Amino acid sequence: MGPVIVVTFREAVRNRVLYLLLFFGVVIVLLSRIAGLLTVGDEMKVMQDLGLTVVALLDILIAVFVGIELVYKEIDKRTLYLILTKPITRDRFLLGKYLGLVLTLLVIHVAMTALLTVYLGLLGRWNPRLLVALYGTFLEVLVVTAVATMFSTWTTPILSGLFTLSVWVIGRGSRSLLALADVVQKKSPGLARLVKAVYYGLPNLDRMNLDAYAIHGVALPPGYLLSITVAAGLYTAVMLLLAVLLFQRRDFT
Amino acid sequence: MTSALSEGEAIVIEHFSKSYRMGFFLRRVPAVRDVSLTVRRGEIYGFLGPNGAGKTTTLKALVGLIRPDRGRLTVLGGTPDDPDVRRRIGFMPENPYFYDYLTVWEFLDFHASLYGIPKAERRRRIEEYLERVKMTEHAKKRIRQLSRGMLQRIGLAQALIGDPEVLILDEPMSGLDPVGRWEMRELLRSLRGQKTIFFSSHILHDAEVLCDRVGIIFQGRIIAEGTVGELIGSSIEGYEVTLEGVPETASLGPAQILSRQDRQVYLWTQPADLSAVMDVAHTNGWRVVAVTPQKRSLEDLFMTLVQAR
Repeated sequence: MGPVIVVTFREAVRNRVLYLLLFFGVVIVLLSRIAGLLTVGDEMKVMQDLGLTVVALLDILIAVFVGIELVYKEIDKRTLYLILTKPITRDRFLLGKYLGLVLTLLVIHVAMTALLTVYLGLLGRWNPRLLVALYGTFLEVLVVTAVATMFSTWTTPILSGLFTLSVWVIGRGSRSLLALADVVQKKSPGLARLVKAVYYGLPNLDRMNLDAYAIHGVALPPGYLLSITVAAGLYTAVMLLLAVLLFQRRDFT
Repeated sequence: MTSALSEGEAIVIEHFSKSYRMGFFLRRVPAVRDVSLTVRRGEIYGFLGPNGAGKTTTLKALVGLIRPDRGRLTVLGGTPDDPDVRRRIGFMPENPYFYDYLTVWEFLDFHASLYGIPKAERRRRIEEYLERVKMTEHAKKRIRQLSRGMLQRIGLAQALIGDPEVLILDEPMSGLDPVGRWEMRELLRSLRGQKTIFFSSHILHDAEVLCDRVGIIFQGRIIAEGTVGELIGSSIEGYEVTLEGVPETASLGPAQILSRQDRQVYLWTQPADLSAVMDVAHTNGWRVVAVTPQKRSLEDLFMTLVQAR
């Protein structure tokens, strides 16, 4: 599995689109001071909020746009013919691809965290709680990458992208789903059940968004970080298991 | 591992069938129907047939890329689904595709590491196989910079890098220029006796030159199998004779005139009649320019079999 992780990482870091996205990320973080100055309100909070949003968006965009091609490209370009005929099992190949992308995202995440720390530190706007929020973002990235990998094993990048972004958007707003289910419960119990099924079926990414805690000082319940870590780990494991099951059944014609 | 092989057998295919779902209504279209064959250890076996005959499907099933609908495929005593069996197989697909952002060295290193080979040994093997496929000087080039012939050679190097007992090659000579084909043929010939080689091809001449045995597949079924000698026979079927100075009205006995050009006449005669034709030529003072023995080729056999169906 190690060689697959390394080659996936190598492929990602030689992808020019990655550097383009990184460039825009860095520019926006550096320009956050201007946004802070121009916005009415607490300049420090605006800068921190913008910084966290940029890191999250950058991570998610890379996770989605590299993730949806992760396996599909191997099948489409037939590069996996040479790999799966070697002594490596399909599940290890798939896990290696996933971990290779996660390693890439980790490097980017750490680099952006370091940039944000140094930049906000120099401006006297650094807040150590931001690290907790950035941890939450990375958990979200792990889940979204696993979802993209799962879709990538059986459908085209366009559909995978659409499905994964939908999961991310709905997952980010999952609290609203529960509220919606409560609203429609009396008029349409069937619809409420459907909305609840979507709520329980999709990852609750909203819980991993710790921006309110980092920026506005909202307290976290005890054990919260552990609970979201376990939830992210479980959802990731289920997605990867599903991906393996779909991938194992495939004929590569 | 199940051991369905007797001593000396490398590949056994028993009643293998595979169909694909195609078209709007996902109708099942058979690709391979009830194919059975055996490849012995150390043998070079040519799996021949036109495009779409079922060659690639069979080869992919032998390396675990597709699963049979029916039947059993056994390589070195085990199923291709078993990674330990695949450790002993080297595979090169038709028109192999590579990670083109890697250099030749990185690519071979990656494939060697999939076998769990330690770094020092990987280095030694990469050097050895680059030398063998004459690619040493291109080791640092990105794969996207290589020509078709070079890609084919790198494809063979990656198939050999794990030092497999069995090589399964899909159309290894396809798309190569005459020099490339000759080089590939010589490379495979140099492995004779060291590896069992099972390769598909629609270039019959290559198979005729290389193979110990061949199987011919057509429309998903094996229609002939045996040694090249058994299939095409070793005997001479006739002679092509070129004579000079033959008048247009001359009788040539049992020989059949193929064509006339300038002052030369081209004849075809049965082996039994050759001496009679030579006597007539000698008696009339005609010059014998050439006598060429005619053997049946694999291509002749192939066309006869295919046209009969």
